[in-house]
Amino acid sequence: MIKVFITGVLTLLVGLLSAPTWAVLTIEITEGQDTGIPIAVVPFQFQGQQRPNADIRNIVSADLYRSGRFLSLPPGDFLSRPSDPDQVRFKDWRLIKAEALVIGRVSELGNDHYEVSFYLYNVFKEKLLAGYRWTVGSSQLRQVAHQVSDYIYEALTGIPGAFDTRIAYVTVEKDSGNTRQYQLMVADSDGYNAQQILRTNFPILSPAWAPDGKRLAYVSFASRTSGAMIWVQNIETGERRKLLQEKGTASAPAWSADGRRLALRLSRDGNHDIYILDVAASRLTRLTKHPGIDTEPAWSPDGRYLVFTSDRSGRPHIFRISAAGGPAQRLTRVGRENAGASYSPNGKHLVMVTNQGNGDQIGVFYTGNKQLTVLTDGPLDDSPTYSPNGAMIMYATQRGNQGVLAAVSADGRIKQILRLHQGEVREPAWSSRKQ
Amino acid sequence: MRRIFHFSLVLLLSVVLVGCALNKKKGSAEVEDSSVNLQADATSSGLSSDDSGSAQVLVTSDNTLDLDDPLGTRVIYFEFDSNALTPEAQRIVEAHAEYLAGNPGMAVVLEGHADERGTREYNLALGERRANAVADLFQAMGVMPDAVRSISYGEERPVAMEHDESAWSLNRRVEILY
Amino acid sequence: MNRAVRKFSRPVRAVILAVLVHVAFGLLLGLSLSFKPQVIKPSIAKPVKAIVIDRSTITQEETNKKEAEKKRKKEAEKKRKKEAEKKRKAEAAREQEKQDAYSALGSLVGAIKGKIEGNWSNRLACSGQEVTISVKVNVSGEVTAVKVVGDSGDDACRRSAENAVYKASPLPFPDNPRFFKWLDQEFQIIFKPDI
Repeated sequence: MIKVFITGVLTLLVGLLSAPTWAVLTIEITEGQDTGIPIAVVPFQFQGQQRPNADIRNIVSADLYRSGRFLSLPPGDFLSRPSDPDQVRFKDWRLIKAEALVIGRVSELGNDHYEVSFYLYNVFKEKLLAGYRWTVGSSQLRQVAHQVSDYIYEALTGIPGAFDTRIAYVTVEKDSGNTRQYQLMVADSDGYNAQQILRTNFPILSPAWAPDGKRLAYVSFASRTSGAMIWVQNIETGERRKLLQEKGTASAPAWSADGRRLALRLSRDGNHDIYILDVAASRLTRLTKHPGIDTEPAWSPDGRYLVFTSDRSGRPHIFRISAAGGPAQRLTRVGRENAGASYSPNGKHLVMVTNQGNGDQIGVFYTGNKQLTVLTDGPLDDSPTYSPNGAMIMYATQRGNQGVLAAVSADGRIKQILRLHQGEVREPAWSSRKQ
Repeated sequence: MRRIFHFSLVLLLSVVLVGCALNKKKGSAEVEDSSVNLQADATSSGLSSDDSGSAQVLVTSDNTLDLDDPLGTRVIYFEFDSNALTPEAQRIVEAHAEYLAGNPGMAVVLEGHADERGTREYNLALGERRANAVADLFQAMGVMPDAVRSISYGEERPVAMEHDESAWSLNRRVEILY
Repeated sequence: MNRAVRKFSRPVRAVILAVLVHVAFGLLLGLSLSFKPQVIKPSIAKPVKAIVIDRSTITQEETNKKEAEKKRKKEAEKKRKKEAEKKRKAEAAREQEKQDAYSALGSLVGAIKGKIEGNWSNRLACSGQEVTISVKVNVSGEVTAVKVVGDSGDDACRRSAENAVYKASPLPFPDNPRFFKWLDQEFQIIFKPDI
C-alpha cells in the first residue's frame, strides 16, 4: 500500500515538474552584420544659380564610409528626398532600414557666399539629434562638409570626429631630366585641397605637425655635402628656418603636446642619441647616451614619457624613458624588429612598424598587457600615424610598384587606399588640430 | 745631314716623351670620360643624379675600370643591418685611404645608404654608421678628418628599385665621391 | 474494607445479609399481592371486507421505483461522468494548446534570433558591453514596444540594439491566433557581442 502511495506521489511530482513554467522568454544575441550604421544622407537641396564645385552630400558620405563605422545607403533606394524637417516621413526611411537620416540645404547668397544647413535624425525613434547652419565662402564648403561629418560621427558613435583635420605627406616624382623631385604637401584628411609646402631635389623625411597646426618640422638636406637637418616651416607664411646649428646630423623631430619642446635625434659625437630641445630657450638636453642607434622619439600625451627606437639590444626595438631622463626600459619583446612607435591620443596604445617574419607591417601595442596586434599585411608598410581621435591609423604602403597612403580603422577591420597623387607618396603625418 | 738627323731624333724623343706624359693625363681623363658615359647610362636606367652638375660616379660592382685597381671602385657594399666592412670593402677603402693620404689637397664625400627594409629614420642612421665606418678607417690610415665628409641618405636614394634581395644588396652601400 | 465492617466477625456478617434478603423478598411479595389484574372484556369482532392486495404490483412498483431511481442515479452518474470527462478533455485540450503554443514559439526562437542578428548592423558599438532590451509584440509579431532594461551599455550600444529590434519587425511569431493568449507578448533580448 505504502509503495503504491509513494509511487503515486512521485508520479504527480514528476508530472508537475515537467510542465514548462515560463519565466520571461530570454534570447541571447551574439552575432551581427558589422556593416556599420546604415545611414541615409539625402543629397542636399541647392537653391541658386551657380552650383558650387563641392558636393556636400558626397563628401559627407565618403567621410562616413572611410571611417568604417557607417554604411551609407545609396540615394537610388530613397523613397523621398526631403530637405526640410517638415518634409520628413519617417516611414520612408524605416522601410529601407536606415537607422539615421541626414537632410540638408545649400543656398546661394550671392558674392560667392553660401548658406549650408543640415539636420540629423534617429529614424526609429523619430528624434532630431543635431542641426547646424553655416554661412561661408565657396572655398570653405569642403571644410563645412567635413564639419557636418564630424557632428554626425560624434552624435552616433560618441567619439569626436576627425574629418575636419589635415595631413602632411611627402611625394616623389621624376622630372623631365629624370631627377627625383621631392615635395612636402599638406592636404585635407581626405586628400583634397593639396598644397605644396616645399619642393627640392633632396629627400624630405619625417614631417611633424606642431600642436598649433601652423608649423611643420621636417628633415632634409642643405647641399650635397651636408647631412640630414631639421627645418621648421610656417605653413601660412612659408617662412622656414633651420632648427639647430650643429655639426652633427639631426632628424626625427617630435613636438611635445604643448609645443614648447622638440625631441629629436642628434649625432653630435658620431653617436645617434635622443635630445630634447627647449624651443624658446634654444637649449638642448641629452636624454640618451648609448653607443647604439637611438632614434624616432615620440611623446606620451601627458608629456611624462618618450618612447624611442633603439638597437642597443641587437635589433631595433621600442624603449621608454622618462622625459626627465633616467634609465630606458624595453617595451617590445616579440617580433624580430619594432621601430617608429607613437602613442594613441589616449596614451593606451602604441602604433609601430613591426617585423614578425612577414616583412614590415603596422602593429598596435597595448601598453596594458603588452600584446602586439598586427593590423596590415605588409611587406613594406611604414610611417603609421594616429588620427586625432585615435579611431584610425594612416600609413605608407605599396600598391603595385607604387608607394601610396592607406588608412585603417584602429581595430584593423576597414582598410582604404587614399588616392592622392601621381608618383610615390609616403611619410604621412596627421595634424591633431582642427583648422 | 747629321745635324738634321740629330735634330729630328731629339724632336722625336721629345715628342715621344711629351706623348707619354700626355697619355698619362689622357688616361685619367679617359677614366673620367668613361665615368661620364656610365653616368649617362645610369641616368637613363633611372638612377638619380643631383643638381650640382658635377660628375657623380655611380658604378656597379662588376664595373671596375682597371681590372686590379681598387681606386676605380667607388662603391662598397654591406651585409643586412650591418656597418662592418667586408674584406673586399676593406681592400677598396684602404686603397682610397692611401691615395687621399698621399694627396692632401683632395677631399671626399662618403655617402651612406641602406636598403628599404625598416623605418626611414633608422635607415638614415644606419647609412650614417656605414659612412662613419669608412671614415674611421680613412682616419686610421692617416687621412685628415677635414678631407672627409660623411653623410647619409638612408633608403632615400636607391640604385635598384626592385623589392628583392638582389636589389637590396646593391642599395646597402657607401659611395666614395671625389 | 471499612473499619465499621471489620468490627463484626464472619458469621455475624452472614446472618445480617440473610436477614436483609428475606426482608426484601417479603416486601416484594406483599407489593405484588396488592395488585389485582383488571379484566378487559374483548369487543365483538366485526366482519371486514376482504380486499385483494396485489402484492406483485407493489413489488413491481417498488422494483420500478427502485429501478427508476437506479436509472436516474445511473444517468446522473453518467451525466456527471460525461461532464467530468468533457471538462477533463477540455482541460487537456487547453493544456495541449498551451504546450503547442509554447513549442511553436520555441521552434521559432532560432528564427527570431536570426532575424535580429541579420539586422544588428553596428555590433562594434557594443564591443565589450552588454545591453538587455525588453520587446513587446502583437499577434502578428510586429514590435509594439522596445525598452532598454537596466543601466548598462553606452548610448551608441543601446541605440544599435534598439535599432536591430526595430528593423527586425515583424518578428517570426506563431501565426495561430489561438496560441496568442498563452504567450507572453513580452520577452527579453540580451545583446552581447563576442568582439
